[in-house]
Amino acid sequence: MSETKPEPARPQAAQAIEAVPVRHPWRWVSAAVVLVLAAMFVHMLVTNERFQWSFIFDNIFTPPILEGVWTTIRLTVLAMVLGIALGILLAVMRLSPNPLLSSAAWLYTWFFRAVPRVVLLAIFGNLGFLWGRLEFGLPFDRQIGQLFGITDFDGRFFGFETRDVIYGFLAGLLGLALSEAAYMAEIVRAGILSVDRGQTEAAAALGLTRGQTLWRIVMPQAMRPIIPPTGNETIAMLKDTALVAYVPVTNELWFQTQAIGARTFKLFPMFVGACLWYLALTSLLMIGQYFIERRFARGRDSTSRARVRLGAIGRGQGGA
Amino acid sequence: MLHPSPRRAARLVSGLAAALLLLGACGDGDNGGDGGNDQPPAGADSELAAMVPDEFSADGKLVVGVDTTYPPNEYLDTDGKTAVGWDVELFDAVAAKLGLTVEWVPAPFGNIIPGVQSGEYEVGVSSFTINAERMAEVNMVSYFNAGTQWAAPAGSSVDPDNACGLRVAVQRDTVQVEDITARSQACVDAGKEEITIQQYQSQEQATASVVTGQNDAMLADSPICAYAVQQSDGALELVGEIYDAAPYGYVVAKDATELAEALSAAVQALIDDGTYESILSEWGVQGGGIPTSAVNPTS
Repeated sequence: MSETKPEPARPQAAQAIEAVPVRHPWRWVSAAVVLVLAAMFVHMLVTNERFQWSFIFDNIFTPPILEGVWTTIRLTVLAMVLGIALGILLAVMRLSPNPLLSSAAWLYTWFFRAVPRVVLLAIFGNLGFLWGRLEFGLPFDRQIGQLFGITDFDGRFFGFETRDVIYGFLAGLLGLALSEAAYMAEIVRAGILSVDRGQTEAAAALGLTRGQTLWRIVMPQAMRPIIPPTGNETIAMLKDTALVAYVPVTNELWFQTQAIGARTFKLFPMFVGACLWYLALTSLLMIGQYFIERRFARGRDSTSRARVRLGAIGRGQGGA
Repeated sequence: MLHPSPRRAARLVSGLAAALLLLGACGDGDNGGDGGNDQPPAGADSELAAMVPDEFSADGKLVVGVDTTYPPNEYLDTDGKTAVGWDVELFDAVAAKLGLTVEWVPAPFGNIIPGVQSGEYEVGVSSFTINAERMAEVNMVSYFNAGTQWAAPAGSSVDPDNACGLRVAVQRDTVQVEDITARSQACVDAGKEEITIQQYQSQEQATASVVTGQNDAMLADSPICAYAVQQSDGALELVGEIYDAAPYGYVVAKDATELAEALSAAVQALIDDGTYESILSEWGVQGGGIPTSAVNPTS
């Protein structure tokens, strides 16, 4: 509170200085306002009977909800793992000197960032309309066969009915992961570009190949700026799993909380129940992010490490 | 912003007022349905109108929650915002009998009954099948009879009574979800493959998923399946008979029994004067017409 500085002692200090601490009346007023508002909010939570807390807690631990939580966690983790892997590949492609690779990566990012996730998910839920069967093998096998006069040439060695495989969970996972890869590609690209060019040049001077330079020199240094936004993306992904109801995936947290709400005609309490679950899961992710950030801040000076605090995680871009 | 000058405050207030006026104007223009006229509609019966409690009749309109994904009962017109369908037309006539207009508010199906309970909607009109669970929560006024029927791609060999192992589309929160869940359980109990139940956000998505071949069949209220088959240009066909016939009911809050009585009397008046029959016939669903309307019918 006090901002008085010690004055250099003067030889003839006749009267003692009457030091008055700087007053901060508005600090006290604003603190009081915040406290009153917080008290009002807590009071409302406790006294407003419409919340029906006992109903909420009776229902948010039922087997369908727990299964929904498990599906939500699986979707988040798998979509992020796939999204990060594909995103790194796309970022490397984008920075490649080969113009074909680089424009392919640009085109991918353009498409999957432009289409809303919920639209993507509805499309992935109905892919069977486009392709009744998905088959893998030699591309253009029929056309190549005809070129040599063989009408029934078949270069396909593996295939399945689209709707038997790509529906529900897998369709939702694909939609989320492919969309996430586009965002991760941009984050990884920014991370790679943030590493000083001298590092690459020095590695080249030592005779390292491009691949070695990327994995040994550039990526470890790029991780620090990549981690915080990736944590942000993970939290966003956890919330976006609620969109898979449009595929439809029905054993998922948001669908199940709504279903209980609609069945018992107590929608609002179940909305609150869904909030509680998402809050709990997001908090877990934030703790995980804190430790990962601390790990990748190793070797930086102590001041920069001190700035990586739990509080910075909330801002998403913090920590660096 | 802590110390706004008087002039700024005045501008702020006038701006807010203008915004509110605009909002008000939007609300008026957005009456939806057919009409939106401020006059009490023609054909009002003053005796019936007197049955409506003041809290509902004071503003001259009923705010109605409707899930507009259920053609031909209730769906959106080509303008993407006007509710149409026989259910809509019939309730417009019911309200007109009571000297009221209707403000149709589209909402997800599962949100409508809770919305009526919380006072967000004065009435719920959305092909609600009357059942004990719903009557325990709200008042229901019967006005139609419908059953459940199945539809499948034309030429397929779907049998509703032997659907084990199939993929079946259904709209979430409807009575058909319980129906198909029970059928799937019966399959499992009999040692057969379960039914893969795909619950969609709207009936239109469920229907589309059968047309695209994503699912093997769907089940819904009988008029909905009949209409889907008719609209699908031969892609879909009805399979099996109509079963589980039950009345549709208008949804009114538990404490608004007087409004429920008024609605029921108005439906009865329309049945008696022939308007009811002509509206249903116009949409080809007269087969589901009922002779008497009742509040919370038990059978």
